[in-house]
Amino acid sequence: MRADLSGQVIFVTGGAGGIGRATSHLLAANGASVVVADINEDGARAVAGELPGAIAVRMDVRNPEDAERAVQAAVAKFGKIDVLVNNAGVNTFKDRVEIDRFPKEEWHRIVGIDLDGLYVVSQAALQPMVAQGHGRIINIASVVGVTALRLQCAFAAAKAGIIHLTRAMALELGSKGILVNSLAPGSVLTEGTRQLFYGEDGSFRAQMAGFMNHIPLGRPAYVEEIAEGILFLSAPQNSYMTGHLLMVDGGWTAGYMF
Amino acid sequence: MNIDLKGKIALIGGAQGQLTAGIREALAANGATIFDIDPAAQDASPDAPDPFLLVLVSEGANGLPAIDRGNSAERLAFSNAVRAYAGRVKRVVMIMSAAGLVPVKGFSEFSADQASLVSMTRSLAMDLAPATVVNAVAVGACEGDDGIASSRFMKHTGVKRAATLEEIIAAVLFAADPDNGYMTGHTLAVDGGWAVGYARDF
Ligand SMILES: NC(=O)c1ccc[n+]([C@@H]2O[C@H](COP(=O)([O-])OP(=O)(O)OC[C@H]3O[C@@H](n4cnc5c(N)ncnc54)[C@H](O)[C@@H]3O)[C@@H](O)[C@H]2O)c1
Repeated sequence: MRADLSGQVIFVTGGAGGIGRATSHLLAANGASVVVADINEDGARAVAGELPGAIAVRMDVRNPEDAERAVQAAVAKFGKIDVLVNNAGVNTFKDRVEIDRFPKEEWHRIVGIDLDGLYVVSQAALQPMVAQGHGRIINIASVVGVTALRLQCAFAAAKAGIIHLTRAMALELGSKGILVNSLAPGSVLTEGTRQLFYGEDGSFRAQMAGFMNHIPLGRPAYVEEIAEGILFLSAPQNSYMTGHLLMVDGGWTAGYMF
Repeated sequence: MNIDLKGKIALIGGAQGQLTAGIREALAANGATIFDIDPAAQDASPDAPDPFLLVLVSEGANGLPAIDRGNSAERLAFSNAVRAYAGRVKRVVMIMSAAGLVPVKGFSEFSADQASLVSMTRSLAMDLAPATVVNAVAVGACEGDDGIASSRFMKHTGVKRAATLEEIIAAVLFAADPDNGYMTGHTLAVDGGWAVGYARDF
């Protein structure tokens, strides 16, 4: 898809990561000025350096002062923010255990970044959006927020929280000209998931074969396919969709494959 | 917004009306060669070139009926039409009413019928994967709908207006988009937030 995003300012949190980088590239290729925001400052700089007219800002989504400073930097540079993509997020890789043993620090770290951080950054970005009388927020959830999986209780709760927060935000902000949607990626091939689940050639580790059987398309997503959904949610013509959860999951939540 | 359908064949069938006409026009503008089909008379000819896209428009996409009714014949025709092209078509898009997402009071037959298309989309997505992705677009209040549809939907529509045809067509184009290959079994709600929850302060 091609969308005309020229003149649009798009703020991507977690912009240095797998999905964030692909999204920044696709939005910029469609004409947007991109603000690459990440706690990983070098990573954000590197991505912004690949794109014409993009800027990098360091921020921890948990920190309201960081969020305000980053929003002010974007407004100082471009005069506005049209679209916020709340994409920064973490999951647990080491503590894959049941909730009765799930470490409290891990719970607070994950919910703190994935859910609280999304509220903090949204509130900061809404200041210019409400004043402008238009804006869009795109919240990156996960298939795990829709269908529960074992051994990642904090991530499941945070992502389900994002999906419902999206709906509540849509109802509150619709009359202010702001559309709020979420997108649930299924399993996506990134550096992180490659190390955890997939071999170098994209093949699955043994335990992943069973997992892939549950996905009708039988493979993980490429980051570009997730970015395509974010582009659609940003497209000026797609202006009657709000509160929606866009599933880009290879059919994972369509039903049980066996 | 455009998608690249140059050199690709699109089949479209089902209910006629302003939306179907608009979709046909948009697909052509994006490069597709379009053939109208009758979903009730589908036995895909083995000689015809493979279509890229199959679009099926439910009567429900044209708004709430004057009198509550469902349409199981339409459902059967759609299911047969999709199966006739299994393995040959890359994208299937069904278009229906947002009453399939949240039922409308007084329209039990209609709501159940439209919900069945949402469910059928999910089921066919599993059956036809990975060769074909199957998705749907659920339409809320739309400009040009008369009275009842708009007023029923509008009460709980967050953005407080009906959709333009272009806004609905944008979702159809996304579902048909050759670059959008990992979405399947999904129903896109183009309803201004209607299916989300209470848009008013009581
Ligand atoms: N990869 C998948 O399979 C998958 C599946 C479903 C959902 N998601 C979601 O997609 C989003 C992006 O994931 P990804 O796969 O690209 O991951 P990633 O780890 O490649 O990228 C995440 C980025 O967020 C940044 N980040 C982490 N904590 C931060 C903080 N406190 N403040 C600011 N930035 C912070 C990281 O530095 C990193 O650049 C996440 O919300 C994730 O939960 C990913």
